Formats: sequence, C-alpha cells, structure tokens
Amino acid sequence: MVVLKYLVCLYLMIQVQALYEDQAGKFDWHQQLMGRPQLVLSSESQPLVVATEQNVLAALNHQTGALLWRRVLERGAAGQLRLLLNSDGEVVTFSGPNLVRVWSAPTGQLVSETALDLPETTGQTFVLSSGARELAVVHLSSPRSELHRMSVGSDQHTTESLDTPWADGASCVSGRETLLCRHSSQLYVLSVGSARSEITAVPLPPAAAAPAQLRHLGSDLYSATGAGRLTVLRAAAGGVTTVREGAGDMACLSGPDGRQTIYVGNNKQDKVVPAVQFESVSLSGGPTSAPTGRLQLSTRHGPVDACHVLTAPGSAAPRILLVGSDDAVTMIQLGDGVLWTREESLASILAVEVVDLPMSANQVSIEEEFGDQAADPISALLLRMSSQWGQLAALAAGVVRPTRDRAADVNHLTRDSFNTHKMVVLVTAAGKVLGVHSETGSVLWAVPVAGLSPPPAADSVVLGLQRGTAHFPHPPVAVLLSGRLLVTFNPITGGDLQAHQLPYEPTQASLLPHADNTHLKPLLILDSAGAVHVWPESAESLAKSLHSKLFFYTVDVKSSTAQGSAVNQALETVPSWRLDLGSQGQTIRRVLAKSPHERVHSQGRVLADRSVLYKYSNPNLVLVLADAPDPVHKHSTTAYLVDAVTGHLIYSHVQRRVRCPCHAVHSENWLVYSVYNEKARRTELTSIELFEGKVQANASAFSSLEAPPQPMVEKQTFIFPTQIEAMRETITEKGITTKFIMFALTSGSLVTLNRALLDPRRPLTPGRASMEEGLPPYTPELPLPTVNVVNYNRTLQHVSGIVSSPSGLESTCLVFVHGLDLYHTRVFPSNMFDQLKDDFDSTFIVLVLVGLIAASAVTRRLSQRRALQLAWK
Amino acid sequence: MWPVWGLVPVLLAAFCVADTDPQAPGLYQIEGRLMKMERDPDPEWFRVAFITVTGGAETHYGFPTADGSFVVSNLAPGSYVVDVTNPRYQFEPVRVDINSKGKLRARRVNHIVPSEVTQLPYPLKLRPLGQYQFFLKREQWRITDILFSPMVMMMILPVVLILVLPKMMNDPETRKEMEQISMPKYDMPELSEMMTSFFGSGDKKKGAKPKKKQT
Repeated sequence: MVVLKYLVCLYLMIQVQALYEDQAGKFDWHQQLMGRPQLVLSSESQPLVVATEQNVLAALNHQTGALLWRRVLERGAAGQLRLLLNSDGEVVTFSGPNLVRVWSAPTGQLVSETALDLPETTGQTFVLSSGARELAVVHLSSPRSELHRMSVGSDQHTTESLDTPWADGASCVSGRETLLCRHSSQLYVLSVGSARSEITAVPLPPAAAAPAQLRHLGSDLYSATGAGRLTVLRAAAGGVTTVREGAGDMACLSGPDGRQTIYVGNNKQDKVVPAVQFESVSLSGGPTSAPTGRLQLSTRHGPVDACHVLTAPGSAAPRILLVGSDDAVTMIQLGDGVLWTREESLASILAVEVVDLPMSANQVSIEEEFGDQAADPISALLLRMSSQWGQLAALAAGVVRPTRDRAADVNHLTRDSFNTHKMVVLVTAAGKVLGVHSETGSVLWAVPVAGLSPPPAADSVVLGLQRGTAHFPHPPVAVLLSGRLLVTFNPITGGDLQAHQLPYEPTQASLLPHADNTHLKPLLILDSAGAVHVWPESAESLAKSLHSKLFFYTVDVKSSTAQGSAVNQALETVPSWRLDLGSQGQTIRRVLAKSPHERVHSQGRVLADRSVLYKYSNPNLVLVLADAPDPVHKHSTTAYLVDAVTGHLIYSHVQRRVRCPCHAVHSENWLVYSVYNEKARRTELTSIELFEGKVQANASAFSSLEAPPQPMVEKQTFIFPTQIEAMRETITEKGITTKFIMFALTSGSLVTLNRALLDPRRPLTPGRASMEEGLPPYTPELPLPTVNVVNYNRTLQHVSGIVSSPSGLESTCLVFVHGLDLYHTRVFPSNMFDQLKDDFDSTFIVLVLVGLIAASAVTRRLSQRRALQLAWK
Repeated sequence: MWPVWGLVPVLLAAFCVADTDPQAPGLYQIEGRLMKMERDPDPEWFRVAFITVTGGAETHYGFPTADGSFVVSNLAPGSYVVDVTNPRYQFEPVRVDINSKGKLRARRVNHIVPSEVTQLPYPLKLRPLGQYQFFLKREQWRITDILFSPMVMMMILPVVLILVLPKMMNDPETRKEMEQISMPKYDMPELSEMMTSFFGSGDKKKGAKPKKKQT
C-alpha cells in the first residue's frame, strides 16, 4: 500500500507539465534559421542551396526565401562545409576533414556518403574540383603540402607532393580549379585543372595587397576588395591578369564561360536608408546588355558584404542574393526591388534580455486607483468611476474595431492583461541588436551597431536593463557593453541609440541594484587597472554612498583564477580574496551565480515532525565548476561553492573519472550540474541543496560579512538518460510555483523535469517521514516521459541557450530557446492554477444558468397557479 | 582466498579501459539501417530523420539514404550511443563499442548497470518502437461521466428514494410481489418512509406559507 502511494506520488510529480494536442502552436512559435551563407549554389530549376558558416546545408525557395529543407552538420571544424557542387540535380558537399556527401536537391535526402581515406593534417585544408565529381584536396603546410585527387564514387586516389615553403602565414582563397594564396609580396596560384598541378608565383598586384580581402567569384576569377576599390583578377595556371579595376564593394559573376558578366556592387546611402548600386561588366568584350540599377534596402540592415547572381545574364532582370555584414540575407531583382529578406544574425545570439512592454493608459489608471491609499473616499470613488468608464469604452472600441493590427507598431506596444507578451532584446555576434515580439516572433526593430562585431569573446557581452517601462515619463533604457563599446538604447523601440567608446578596458560590469532619482540603475564597470567607473557618470555619488556594499569578483578563464575585491570610498577596488585553480592544473569551465531577478517565496521547508529546516539563501553564492586531467582517473571535476563577497569556500565536491561539458543551474538554495561520467559512460546530474539548519541566524537579511554558520549540505547524483546541450530553471513572479528544470537535449527536444525529482533528500529507503514530506524514494535514473517534451515535434538543433522569464501570472513562465532554431513557449510548472483551463466550458455554464433561470420562472408560475387553485377550494 | 579472487575483475576492468583508450590512430565508422514502418500514414518524417552519435568529445551526425542505410564516420575507438532523431517515431538507443582494433559491438543501453552486455546485431537495425506521445488526451464529454459523477449520484439517489420507492410501496401488486419474495428485512423502506413523511410534512409547511400571504 505504501509503495502504491509512492508510485502515485511519483507519477503526479512526473506528469505535471504537459500539453494537449489542441494547444500546439497556441502560445509557442518556432523559427528555423541557417546562419550566414558562405557557399551558394543556384540553378533555375532547383531550389537555392546554401552552405553556411554555422555548418548548415539548406535549400531555400527562390521566390519567398522559405526554408525548404535543412541539414545540420557537426559543430566546429568537424562539420565545416568546404565545397558545394552541382552535379545533375544533385548537390555534392565536402565537409569536415574528409566527408563527401551527395544530396538530392529537391528533398534534401542523402544519396550517398563517402569518407575519403585522407591522412591527418596539421595544416589548412582546401578542397578544389576539376570536374563535376573530381575532387582535389590540398593539405597546405610548410615546407611541403600534399594534394590528393579523387573522384566521387570510385576508389581512384592519387597523391602529389608540392613544394610550398611559403605556406606558413599565407592567406588563401580556394576557387574552383585554383587556389590563390597571398604571402608577403607574392601571389601564388595553385592550379589543379590539368593532370599535373602547378604553382605559379607572381608579384602581388598593389590592389590585392594585405588589407584587401580576396574572394572567389566563380570559375577562375577572384576579387580583391578594400577601401572602396575593387579589382577583379583572373588567376590561371599561366599567371594572374587584372580584368577590371575601379570603385566597388563587392562583385559577383554570372553566366557560363565565355559569356560572363560581372556585377559590381557599391554600398550607398540614400539619406539614412542604405542602398546598393550595381553595374555590370561584360567579360566577353561585347556591349553589355545586362541592366544596372540602384536599390534601396531596409534601414534595419547594415552594408552588404557579398553577392551571388542567381540567373543567367540573358534574362531581363537578374536576381542577386546579397549577404550583409550583419548576416542579413536579401534577394533582390535588379530593377524590381527586394524580393525577400532573412534575418540570419538570429542564429548567433550572444545576449538576451526580456523586457516588459509599457502599460496602456487603462492599465495605468487601474494602478493609480489602488496606488493612492491616502486619498479621500469621494475622490477615490470618482477615480474609480472614471477608470472603469475608460475600461468600458476600451472594451466597446475593441468590439467595434479589433486592435490587433496595432501590435505591429513599435510605438503603440502595450502590455497584455497578464503581462505574457514581452519584448525580447537580442544581441547577435554579427553586431546587431534586435527586438523580437515574444508573442509572434516577428522582429519589431533591428539596428546594426558599428564596432560591435566581432565581439571580443562570446560571454563578454553584458546586456542589462537600466530602467524598465514602468517609469513614465522617463523612457526605458537598456545598456550593452562589449569590449570598449558601450551602447545605450530604448529596448522597446530600438531608438535613442547612443554608442560610446570607453577610454579604459572593462573587465567586469554589472548593474547597481539601486536606482538613482530618475529610476535609472547605473552600470558599474570595473576596468583592467582596478578602478570602478559608473555609467552614467552623474550617478557616481550614488555609487560612492553605497561603496561599502559593493564587491566585485572576476574570473579569468585563461589562467583559471577567480578574484574578489571590495570597493573603497574613491571607487577603487581593494583585492580581498583569490582562488587560484590554474596553479593546481584545473581549468574553470563554468561560473554561475543566481539570477538577480529571482524571488524566494519560502524561507524554509517544513519537515514531517512540523519543524522547519531553513534554507541557506546566500545571494552571493557562486558555483565554480573546474575540471583537471588526473593521472589515475583520467579526469576529475570539482564543484566549488564560493561566497563572492568574502571568498569563503563554503563547499567543494570532487568527482573522479568525470569530465565536462558541464551545464548547471543555480537557484534559491540549490544547484544542479551535469557532468559526463567516463567510467559508466553516461550523463549524470549532481544535485546540491544547502540548509542553514533548524534555526536561522538572521531572519530578515543575509549578510556574508557576519560570518554565517557553515550550511548543512545535502547532495545526490542521478543518471540522466541522454546528453544535454543547455539547461535552465523556470522562474515565476513570486516564486511560489514549483521549480522545474528545462533541458535542451542533443536530440532536439526541450524537456522539463520537476526539481522535486532531483531533491537530494530523496531517501534511499522509503519511510513515513519522507512520505509525509512528499519525497519520493531515490531512483538512480531520472524519468523523461515524452509528454514532458514542451516543443513536441519541433526539433531544436544546436541550442546555445535557454532564457526563462516570469510573466504576470504566477503559474506561467516564459521560455525562449535560441540556437539554430528560435523557440518561444510558456510553461506551467504547477499547471494553470490561477487561470481558467483552456477547455473550460463557458457555453455549458451559460446554458445551465439560463436553464435554471427558466426553470425557476416556470416553477414560480406553476406554484402561483397551484396556490390560487388551493385558495379557491 | 576471497580477496585474491576479488582482485581479478578489477584488473580486467583496467585492461578494458586500456583497450578503449583513444590513442591508437585510425578512425572508424558505425553502419546501420533505419527501418521504415509498414503502411506508414505519414512517411515525411523519414526525410528529416537523422542519427546522432553521442559519447565522444562532440556529437556526430549521420543521415539516412532513401533505403534507410546510414554511415557515421570519423569515430575514434570508444563507446557511443546511437539514437534516431525525428518528430514522429520513438526509437530505442543502441550503444556501440569500438575497440582499438576497430572491432564493433552493438548492445542495449543500460545506464544503471553499464557493464551488462545484451548484444544486438551489428550492422545496426533500428526499428521504430511506436509513435511519440507528446500530448495528453483531452477528456471527452460523455453522458455517463456526468451521470456517474459523485455529485450527480448524490442528487439522483435521494430523488429515487423519495419519489420512486413510496410509489412502489403504494402499488398493491408490487407489495404483493415484495411480500412473496422472502427477503431478509432491511430497515431501508422504513427509513425512506420516515424521510418521505419528514419531507412531506416539510412541504406542507412550505406550501402553507404563501397561502397566508395571498390571502
């Protein structure tokens, strides 16, 4: 009987978060991305096939830009696409070190796959082709390089050795049959077109000298661009000739050999609108019949980097695919305009901030109604009546004219009644800041920021909300810090963008939790010299007045040291502690503090004997995960729990024969981190929970400085059945709702798991006490039922992060997942307890009510008649 | 005697570890075949399905050809888990061990006892187990659900007791039948009679009140 109760309890715990089929697509949206195109293949009859920098092979519809199919390869060099060829309706790719795959162009189905038998190389790899299925792989290294020739579908394999003493430090571009390398003052052309390859060295043309960028245009033509000048070079076995020289930013080639036309594009600026102007140059010598034109692009996009012509030169209006410096992919038709645009910078999101939308006038009046407690009853009544009249008018207006279309206008964005629609502000590696509406996924504004790309390091971008939307008439302000570049902007409209170049080198930045008299939270920036700067500078006095409460910690991943410091009166840092893991051979893999937005509802847990176990809620607790090679156990991973103010090492836990990738969540008084166990070859989750004990040292506030007692530590390890790409905990407005942990898996699912299943206090043997507390007995393997997959059949690949944010409803947490797919949904960890269910039968209730009223009217009539008859008797 | 024997498995384990150490040069392939469902209502899933091979430093991918065969290349000796990702059918993951000589062995994934070997055929044959159940079923509206819900039962039973039973008792034929059936006597009818008399008198009182008002 007890076991049955446990099973029921466990079942209830697992089955909390799930969707009904009719809810699919109701509050979630999904966008598939591909990344920045690198290689483009097009023919009239086939879809447009591109290979991208994010290792994706994708096919797009010419007319609409819709993704027809997408194949995602391995991350990094193992999946890098180096060659894209068209061979009678099929697409041939070379990816990674040695994989040749043939795909069907209309469906994306693999036709054949060959792993070439190539030796390992330390140098660069380039792939050339001397025919539709003839490949030549160059392993370029100094002093000798190797050239492997082979043909797809046969075992033929010849190897040549080449003298390349210049290969070190050469920058090379691979073309079709030639490889063009620039080294100091020479240009080398490696040609594989004939049976015997040859290398020709020519003096470097001045236009192609160092800062200029070399690009392959098609067949044997290359372009060198730099400082607004563009030179087209023809590189062949005999040497290099200059075909065209003049102004230009990009060039693209169309047409078969002999009838080629080059389109040279120039970035222009029509007042504030970026534009691109194309002129065509015919290489066959005859008069050029191809049209030229000037096209305005959207203000959302930056200058264009590269172009690809997609149609034959004979056609009236050639189609050109433009790739922007901000990773925007635009298809234009010369003389006609822009056909479609894809925002591919979204595939490389670095930082996310979810911002509440401003309240509408009605919502403000409701807030006012309850805000002023001291008002006299009559004015309060008048206020209430006026606000309710406003609500009624808005309702009537909404019935007459639905206001849905207004949502697209940035200036009229307002909060919905449960604050579930938000603005998601994104910073991408392409140097663009975007605002995405969380309800629809549409990009409401996008601003390319000069100098933002490339970021110095992926995790060094700081994005914060200095002032929210609740402080009218002050506009909301978001701040972005990347390297020395500091940008402030309005997160709702994307306007008021101001970029500043800082005169110092920031190493750490965070928002001060206190706002100044304009409700603006100043940004504190720690520079490399140890001084603290305040942005805006006018708030310096506020920071100075709070200096005794300010502490910084910095983590240097290169040397694997963590360092903490206090701040003195003059806003200079005074080093206070140092954790040097690098000297012990350890490498810091992950550092995680608690979310500053989090609220803890309950200070303790009630045990079975009605006593309270108080949580150790240290807001300054930081988890540091480090791994090290171990002579005996191969790898060991250590988790350190450090108080970031005092440097006090609260707990450390070593696991042997275990390695990263480590993912972690840190919330309230508990942490969960994942490691890979090499011995048992499985992913394991370690759960740690900290308690102060049965008495609380200070019930009102937690101070790291007043030496809190050493907490009780409970820990437990569980087996996770698959591999994790990212994890995050749910967050709700008041923290009452049960916490769930969301896992993005390598299989593309987003799974939720109740934190209670990861409770380290789950007993090994079930007992009455644990049952009363609702703790299921320990089971080593965690269950992952498929109903807990919140993204159902929408596969999410190469997930780079999960962002959770609270909504106005305590039951609802908003989740945004980014990577090669964007996905947004709502999760209800404890079900929709504060909302009517979707399947709430309003019509049934109305029918019953109407029926009851009718029945009461009828019975009243009947009883009256009966009473009358009785009276006449 | 005992501890000496205990040592042997430890040593064996150490050898096994040395065997799978990825120091030997040479990379290997996992081959297999994805089986289609017979009479598949929606074969579209097959076009987007891919194979993930996890367990190494990074995840490797394999793609099935039209007949379902796939190859995942460039794998160092080690132990990998092969799984199929697709939006429609659930597959059982398979563990594939590659030793330093390039010999492959497929076995069932067992996370709890990783050393237990339940061998599976190699090259792999991956068959769908069944469709994914991502959604909960909505409760359907049925008349029986309403009728048998405790609230409705509580309402209907007294009505039956109050209205039907006294009528049955009043009917002389049924009374005869009841008397003929020699049933052990329950105090149920008495209770119902008591209740009818109680409610009946209550009704009379209620009926009397409006009369007064009307007059």
